[in-house]
Amino acid sequence: MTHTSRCAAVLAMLSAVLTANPTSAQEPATKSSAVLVAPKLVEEVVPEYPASKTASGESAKVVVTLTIDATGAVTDAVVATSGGEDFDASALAAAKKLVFEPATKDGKPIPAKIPYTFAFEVEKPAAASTVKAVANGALRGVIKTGEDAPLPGATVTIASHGKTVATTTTDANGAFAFELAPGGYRVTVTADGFAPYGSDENVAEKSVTAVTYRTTSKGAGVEINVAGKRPPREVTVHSLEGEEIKKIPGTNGDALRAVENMPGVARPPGGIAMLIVRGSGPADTGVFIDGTSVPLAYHFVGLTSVFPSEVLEKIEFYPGNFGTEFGRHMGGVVDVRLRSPKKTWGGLLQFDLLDGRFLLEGPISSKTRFLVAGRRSWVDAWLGPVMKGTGADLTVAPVYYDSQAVLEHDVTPTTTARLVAFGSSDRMKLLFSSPPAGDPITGLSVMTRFFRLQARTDTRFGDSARWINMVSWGIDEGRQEIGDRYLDITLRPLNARSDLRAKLADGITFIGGLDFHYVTTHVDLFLPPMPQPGDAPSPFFARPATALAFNAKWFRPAAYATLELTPAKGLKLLPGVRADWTSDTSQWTFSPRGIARWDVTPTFPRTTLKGGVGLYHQPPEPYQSVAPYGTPGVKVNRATHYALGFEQEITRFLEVSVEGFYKDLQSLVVQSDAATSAASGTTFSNAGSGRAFGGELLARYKNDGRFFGWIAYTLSRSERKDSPSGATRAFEYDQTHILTALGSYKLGEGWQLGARWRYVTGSPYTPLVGGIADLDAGGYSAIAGAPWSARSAAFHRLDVRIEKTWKISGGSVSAYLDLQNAYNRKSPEGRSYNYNYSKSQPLAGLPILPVIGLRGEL
Amino acid sequence: MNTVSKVLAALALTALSACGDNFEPGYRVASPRILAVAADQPYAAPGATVNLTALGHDPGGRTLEWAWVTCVNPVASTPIACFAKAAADASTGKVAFAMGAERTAFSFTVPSDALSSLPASTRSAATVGVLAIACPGKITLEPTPNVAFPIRCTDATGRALALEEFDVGMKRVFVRATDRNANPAISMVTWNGAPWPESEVKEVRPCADAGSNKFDDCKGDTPKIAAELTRASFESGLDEYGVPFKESVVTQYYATEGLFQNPTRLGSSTETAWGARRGTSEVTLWIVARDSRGGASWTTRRVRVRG
Repeated sequence: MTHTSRCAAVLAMLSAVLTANPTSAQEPATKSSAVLVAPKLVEEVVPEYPASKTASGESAKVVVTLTIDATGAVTDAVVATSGGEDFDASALAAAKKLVFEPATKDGKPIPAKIPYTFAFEVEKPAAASTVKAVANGALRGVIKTGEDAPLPGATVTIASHGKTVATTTTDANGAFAFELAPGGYRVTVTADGFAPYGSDENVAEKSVTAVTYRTTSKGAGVEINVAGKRPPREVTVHSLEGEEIKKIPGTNGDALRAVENMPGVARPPGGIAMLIVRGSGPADTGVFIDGTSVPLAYHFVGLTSVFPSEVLEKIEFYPGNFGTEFGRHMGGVVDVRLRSPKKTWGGLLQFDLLDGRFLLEGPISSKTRFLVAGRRSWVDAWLGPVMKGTGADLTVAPVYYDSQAVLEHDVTPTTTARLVAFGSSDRMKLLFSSPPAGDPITGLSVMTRFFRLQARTDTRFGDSARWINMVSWGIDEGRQEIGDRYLDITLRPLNARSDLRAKLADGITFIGGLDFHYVTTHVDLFLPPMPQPGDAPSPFFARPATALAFNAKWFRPAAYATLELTPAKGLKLLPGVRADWTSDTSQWTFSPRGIARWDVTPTFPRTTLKGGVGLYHQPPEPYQSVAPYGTPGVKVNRATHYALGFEQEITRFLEVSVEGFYKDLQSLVVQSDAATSAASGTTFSNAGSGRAFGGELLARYKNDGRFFGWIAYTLSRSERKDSPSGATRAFEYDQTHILTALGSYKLGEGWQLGARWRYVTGSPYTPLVGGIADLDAGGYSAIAGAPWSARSAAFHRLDVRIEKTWKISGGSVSAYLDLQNAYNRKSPEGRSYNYNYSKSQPLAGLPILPVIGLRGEL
Repeated sequence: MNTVSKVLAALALTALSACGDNFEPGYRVASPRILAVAADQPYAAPGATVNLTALGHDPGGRTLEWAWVTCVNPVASTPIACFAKAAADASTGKVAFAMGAERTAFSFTVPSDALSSLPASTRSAATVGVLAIACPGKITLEPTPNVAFPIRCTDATGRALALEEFDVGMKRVFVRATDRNANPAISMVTWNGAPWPESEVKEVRPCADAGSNKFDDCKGDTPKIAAELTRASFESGLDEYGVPFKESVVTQYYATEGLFQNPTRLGSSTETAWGARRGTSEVTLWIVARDSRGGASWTTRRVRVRG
């Protein structure tokens, strides 16, 4: 009967499943998911070494910001990092003679801005003299990054008349050397994460040609200003892209789990996958896939999110003070963007401990391309035996699937249409060969699946306006069973959005649109009244159940408008308002919001002050408001967000952001016992209130091609009152200190090593102080102590990821080890109780867990 | 449905992590316990008189004082809600606790409005909860120290006992206009496959050390014990609200000492194994059958431990 306590806890937690709520939907403004290619240097110009410096022979580096037009010509050059007056002048003179292939978006030339580094060095005779005299000639050199660091592992290829004559790899100092016959050669440098670089060199007989090349990292150091791509408009938005998403240790390459490493995000108790943002509940933060809300962000147990990282372009995370285009949530927003299919054929196969996945993409015609991907878990194949091995008297069969299909077509040069279908399925069943004595139910099962079909058009009207229209329809299905009790829910959500962004005049841009959400649902249940979060566990067996079947629908249209004002250079003001109608509460809400950003120093190193205040409304969950299960008359939740902070560039790659926040929560929906007069056994009211406040620090080193990482620290407090006269208590997800330090470094030779360490204050919990026997079940019903009055010990953990990549013809193969909880810390994740709740002990989380995977990519 | 993932995560985590505890198993009756209460009418009509009988035991051999009180239609039909309702009703004089030494029987009449006072949609969940308190001493209507619990149990020395030193339980009587439910019936108990009449005291040698709480530690005598349930124990059909039902029947094993392999069995597969721990002389075993509609019955056996 040692399983009594465990299974009581299982049941209590499973009961929360049955409070299942369809997530309210809204669509964020969509941005282009087009493929951007940085400008490529066509004609290099070597600046003249200033005569005034010849005597001193000093070296210098000048970083110039180049403005390159759609033809590839440099139309402007501004010194970003000075090397001294004379060096600057020489650099600017050379810069304006550079010629590029223009940046492209989906193959179309566009204007761009990039940093470009000129290095001034006097060739030291000593260096040349160290080179052994050769009969032919020699080419020796060093490859450096834009930050002047040597670049080991880069491939240097020598070609003559179009034919490769030699290839080598730079050493730990970024150096290379060739012995060559006299003549002209094309030298090409390639390295992971860096733009290819090419140069023509002449090698003379019996002499050494010494060169230094600098290559620019892809993406990180290149700022492409695409017409219509908006500059920052939020107080804070954290973006995660490409390699960062895939290579963060401890996440197994999962995109959404990567978000949990950002400041403001608490660690869910038990490592359960959900987003707890700035002291808000998990349901307060919305997750959107390309503008469409999804009912389930993670597959069960939170091992992975419902979208594989390979199909994502980026994730934008708004921890608060988001714009008017986002509604129906009062916590944060996670905006997940699907990427466009490539215009060339590509594919991926990956297998690891959790699942297998594939991806195939390519062109259908010059204007049309596609992507299909799918994933299937095989946790069921090994978790059951593992659990039996631990003595758990359970049979577990967890399975998840997900799939995605994207068809994209260029309708006109200015309009792109996209049809997307995606879906997810989770099934899990626990069958008790010998039922838990504390609650002798026969088993538990959970099934959830959803499907979305989304059509979207994106039209640009020159550089001044952009109009995005989206409509999506889908089905959400869920079935949960506890013994012979069950809950079936089917939802059919229809979402539509029309978003217009137009430049009205210099310094004035309009952002506005309509956002509709309509849902029909059918519910069929046979259940006892469901406990709510925080209720003490109680057996299910033999509890009287109510059979109920009903249909319901709700309609939540909204309109929003924001003006983006630039009254002075570097100053941005964004006043806006959102109006929402909620049919299930018969309520209009108006949410005025204001955001300000001021680039005190607009050029590098940029300093920005930022702040915002806004009102946010969130409809109650349908099970709270929609009769007959919910309580008619319940109103929407309300939050006021305040934020103030600054951002400071330290180097081109290192930036620090500090922000304070305060969130005032009012009219929160809380449960109140009301005998059995309601079908749910409880009623809901807006008697709750609360607040959350704190500060966040993010020191982030952007991906420079070899390294990325950050330190995120959050100090916060979140409190709630369940009634106006009630006592203030800690919010169940309150965590005082949240520290994440992570980094990932390319060692060279295809090796990459990363680590993440987290420290989080223990979560509050409600102690259970005893039990009353349920004589129909033979188990005990717990008596709760003061709500959320106790706290678990702190959590800390180290995760390590090591990956080796082999280049193969046309692609790559990688093998990786994601070692989670590397020093096997037994962090408490809750408490285990004895049969009558009179004794307890900490419940340790997952032990050290190695996840090994293999991945092939074309 | 966005709570699904967190619940499933918790399930897996809990299942993986909670297996290492070494709490004394609940099937071992090591403190005053109420193991079961049976009603002569698990399903009763408004106005019906229901008679209850309790199975309780104090391993210390003290006389148990019992207290009984009812709660009508408690919130969510939980023991905690029943206790809160009964305590509130008792404080205003609406209900009274029936108390007495060794008072293991109790009767009450189902209120005539127990069904009609509820909305039609929730009447299928109508219950009368019956709270039973078993105290190895004296029961008074005072709070138990350290627990917001309005009943106090004091022992012979006058010490107020902690909640785990006495026992409180709730039995539901389902209120239905026409539906009825028969208690499950145990027709026979077997010991290693042979009939084991109630009068026969079996003998075993201990199989594990005194401190063991795991059946896997048992090396030696682990007789197979099973209870045969009558076919009539497994009821099914259509209830008066038109909802089909099929009873689950569980067999639960308790003992004053020893280790059970599976203390709870489902349906007609009732067999388990049991072993004694060293330092034990005589052991009482109880086999309780419960159905998922509030029916219960039990039987008792005795075992002598040699060596």
